[in-house]
Parts: sequence; structure tokens; C-alpha cells
Amino acid sequence: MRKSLAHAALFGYLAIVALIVILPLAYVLFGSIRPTPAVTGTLWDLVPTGFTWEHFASAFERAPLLRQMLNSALVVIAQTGLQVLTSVLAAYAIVFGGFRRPGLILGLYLVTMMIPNEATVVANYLTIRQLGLFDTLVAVFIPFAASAYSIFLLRQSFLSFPTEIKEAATVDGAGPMRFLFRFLLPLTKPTVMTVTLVSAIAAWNGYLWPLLVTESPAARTVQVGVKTLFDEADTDFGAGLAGLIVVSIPTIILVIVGQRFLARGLTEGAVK
Amino acid sequence: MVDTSARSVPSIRRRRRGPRVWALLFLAPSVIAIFSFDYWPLLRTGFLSTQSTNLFGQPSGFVGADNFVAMIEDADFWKTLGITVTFMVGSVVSKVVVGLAIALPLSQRLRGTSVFRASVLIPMAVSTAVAGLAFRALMTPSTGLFDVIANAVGGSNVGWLTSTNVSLLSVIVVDVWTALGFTVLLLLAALDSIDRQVFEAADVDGARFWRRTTSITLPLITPTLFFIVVTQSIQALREFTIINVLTGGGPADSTRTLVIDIYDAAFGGTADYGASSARSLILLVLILALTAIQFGVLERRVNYR
Repeated sequence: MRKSLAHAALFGYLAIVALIVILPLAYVLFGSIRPTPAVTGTLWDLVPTGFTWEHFASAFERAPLLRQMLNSALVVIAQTGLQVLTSVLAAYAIVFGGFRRPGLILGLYLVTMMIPNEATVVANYLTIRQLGLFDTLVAVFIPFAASAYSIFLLRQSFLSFPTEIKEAATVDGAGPMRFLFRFLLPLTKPTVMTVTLVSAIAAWNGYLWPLLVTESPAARTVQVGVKTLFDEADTDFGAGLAGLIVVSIPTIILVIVGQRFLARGLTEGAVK
Repeated sequence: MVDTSARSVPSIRRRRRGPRVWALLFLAPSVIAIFSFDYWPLLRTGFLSTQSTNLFGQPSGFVGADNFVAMIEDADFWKTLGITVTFMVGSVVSKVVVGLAIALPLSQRLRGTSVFRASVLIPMAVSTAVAGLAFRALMTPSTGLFDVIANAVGGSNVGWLTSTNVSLLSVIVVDVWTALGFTVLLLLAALDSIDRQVFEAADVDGARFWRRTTSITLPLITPTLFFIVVTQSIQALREFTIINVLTGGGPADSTRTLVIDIYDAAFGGTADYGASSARSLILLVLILALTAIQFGVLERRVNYR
């Protein structure tokens, strides 16, 4: 009896915690579909009351959201593609390249993890200006063409690759390219997936850097775009809330589909 | 970092000495990238910090340590540093306490609680900018839900983002929320890996939940707690998005952290790259110090084994 009472208390506590955690998103969602006014300023804002698409229509009307979503999608594809490609090549070279001190090369990459992007934004901003890339999508993704984190994770997984298979493949005459794409990558797919997902979500969610190197609404990425929409939608609060929902849908899908890989990516770097 | 690659691929090592040509080619793209956008800008930041900046934002002559002297003599800089440290400590402590308050009961794996487990991870699916804007809606004066609730329970408008006494706390609340998925996930992983027998032994001894937690569970997950404290301290020092979206550093500079200062000095209308770069180097030093602590402690832990 006492035990089941304790269970019920714990269950209730967790239920309340879960509700509080999802409250901000529920509030935004309910507001985005509530007939005008989107926010009533009463406790009714806690629950959905009525339904309308008008705030979404208004959001797309007020800001070039579609264009900005496309921009962000292009940034995600370019940045993730580049990052995964350069990281796979680098990790492969570090592990199988026959270097005398592979640890030193890895260190060269890992040191960059200690240099916060926030401390180098001014210098990078000037570089982008000098390259004539300001206000272009290339400026948004090019600084992230390499990733020490991805190289590290991939290197760890390449290290555990069975040496016998490597030798058998080499004896069969497989060159480095063939070995990489036919044997190594298929067998280390979970890590490649993790690296790809983490990189894609980070690319979609980028804020400070795209804010700095883009200027025109048509070149903005979606995170910056939705902030502008929100700032300007003071009298049309529903449009701002609807914008938040639209912007979040891609990452919510990615996180749900890839949660297994993401959990690995997050805990991998942690202390064992 | 312990290097094990030499042991894992001995056969390749033996057959040929020195790197292969293809390996150098494979390294080239990422090496070019990190030199262009990590090492070079670092040097350039150092250079800029010794330069005065003219009206057009161009470096206009060597001024030695003048930018640093001006920074140290600026009372606002010390205020900014104080706010940065307060934000960091407040944020990290809250993240650990809230993380444990959620992860400990979740780790009991009661029937029917897996849905709660999933919902606590939801903040991970939302970008920091979106989270900040969602909370800005909640914290809207008088009509936002937070003030509506405050009024409903007999209080008055709090001024979440407009009162200089509350604004930093509001920013911390949002920061804790955005990191919730990460902290809970890590803590759950650590708690799940504790050997069940340890608890069974404690149960036999009649240890109650609280005592069991403080004297068995927490010591066993110290490495994870330490990891969270260090990574989240670094994260807090670097936090830009939440503050930019919520308060922009205001009201009356009450949420102006070092990163906001770096941004404002260079892009807030003045284009003083010298002052901005000097502050960037302070940020770098703080983060290097935290990283050094992390590796120092890890090293000792490894040696004890």
C-alpha cells in the first residue's frame, strides 16, 4: 500500500514536470492555431481553443519564410555534405594513412574545439568581406567545412575496424578509395549517421554567424528570418508564433527519426 | 587523449614507412578549412587587438596594449565580466539541480513513465533561437502566460525581461530549458550504468532514498556531473543566441555578457574591432582555462586507476 502510494506520487511529480517542460512549445502551438487574437492574455492560453490557418498564411505573407527555408535547406546540404566528406577523408587518413605520429595530426584538429567561434567571429567576418562573400549563402556554410568533433567520432569508430578485413581487402587489390567506400563506410554506418545528423541539425539551427554575414531578407537563413518576423509581428502575434512552428518542423522530424543516433553522438564525447 | 592507433594497425605500419600520398591529399581539405577559419582568425584576432580602428572599421596603426588598458580601466567591462560569471554559475548550478531532479526519478523506470522520458527530451528538437522567442512570448509583459499566471495566483506583473532584477534569472531559465534534453540524457545514461546490486545491498541496509542518493548514487556519477559542469560552463560563456533574442543585453545592460560585448563592440554601430578583439581574447583565455581544468582532472582520474 505504502509502495503504491509512493509510486503514484512519483508518477504525478513526473507528469507535472513533463507538462512544464513542454509548456513553452504547447503555448506556441496553441497560439499559432487560435483564431485572432492568438494570445488572449488569460489562462485560456494554456489550452487550444478553436482552430485557424490564418496565422500561418500571415506569417508566409509577412516574411520570405519559404525562401529562407530554402536557404537554410541549401546551407544544411552544403555544410553537412562538406563536413561529412572532409571528416571522413581526414579520419581515414589519420587511422590508415601510415603516419608516424597520427596523434599529432588529430591534435591539430582537436585544438580547434577549444577556440570558441564567438571569439573569432570578427576576424572571420573580415575574411568573408575580403573574399567578397558577404550576404551570400556560401559565407554561411564555408567556415564550417571541417569539424573536429566529426573527425574525432569517425576516427574512434575507424580504429575499431577489424584489421583482418583491411588486410584482406588490400590483398585483393582494393585501393584506398575502394576500401573506404566499399568496406569501411558501410561497416561504420551508425557513426556516419550520427555525424551527419548532428551536423545537419547544427547547420539548420545556426544563428550568430548567419546573422553576421547576411543582410538582405532573401539571403537570410530561417533562424534569423524568424527572429525578424517575430520582432516585426508585434501587432500580429499569431504570425510570429506560426513562424516558430514552421521553422521547427524539420528539426523535430530529424530528432524523432534519428534519436537513436543523436543520443549516441551526445554521450560519446562524455566521460565513460 | 590516449592514442591507440599505433597499436590497432601494426601491419600497415610495418609494411611501409611514412605517410602515403593519398593520405596527405585526404587531409588537405579539412586542414585548409581549419587553418582558414580557426587558426588564421585566431592570429588575426590577436593582431587586431593591438590595432586602433578608424571610422571605416579599418585597423589604423599599432597601439600596443592600449585596447587592453582601455578595457581594464572601463568599469562597464568589469560589470560585464561579473554578469558573465553570475550567468555561468547560476546557469550551471541550475542545470545540474534541475537535471538531477528529473533524471533521478526517471531512472527508477516506473511503469508508464517512458512517455515522460521522451517529453523531457523535446527541448533538444528546438533551436535555441526558437526556444528564446517562445519564452519571449511567454514573458511578454502582462499578456504573456508567465504574467497571467503570476496575476492569477495573486501576484502582479513580474517584468521578466524588463526588470533589471529579474532579467538575468529569466535568461538562465531559458538556458536551463534549452539544455534540459542534453543534461537529462547524460545523467540517465550514467544512472542506468550503475550496477543494480549496489542498490540492492543498500536496500538490505535499509538506506532511504535521500541517503542512498547522496552517499551512493551521486558519488558514482561524479564523472558525468563533472563533465556536465565543465561543458555547460563553456557553453554559458559562449551563449549568444538566447540573450540576443530575449533581451539583446538589456535592460540597462543587466544581461550584457562578454559575448554580447564582443558583438556590440564590433557590430553594434561602432565597428571597434580592436576593443572587440581584446574582449575575444579574454573569452578565449577563460575557455582555455576551463578546458585545462577538465583535462587536468581527467588526467588524475586516469592515473588513479
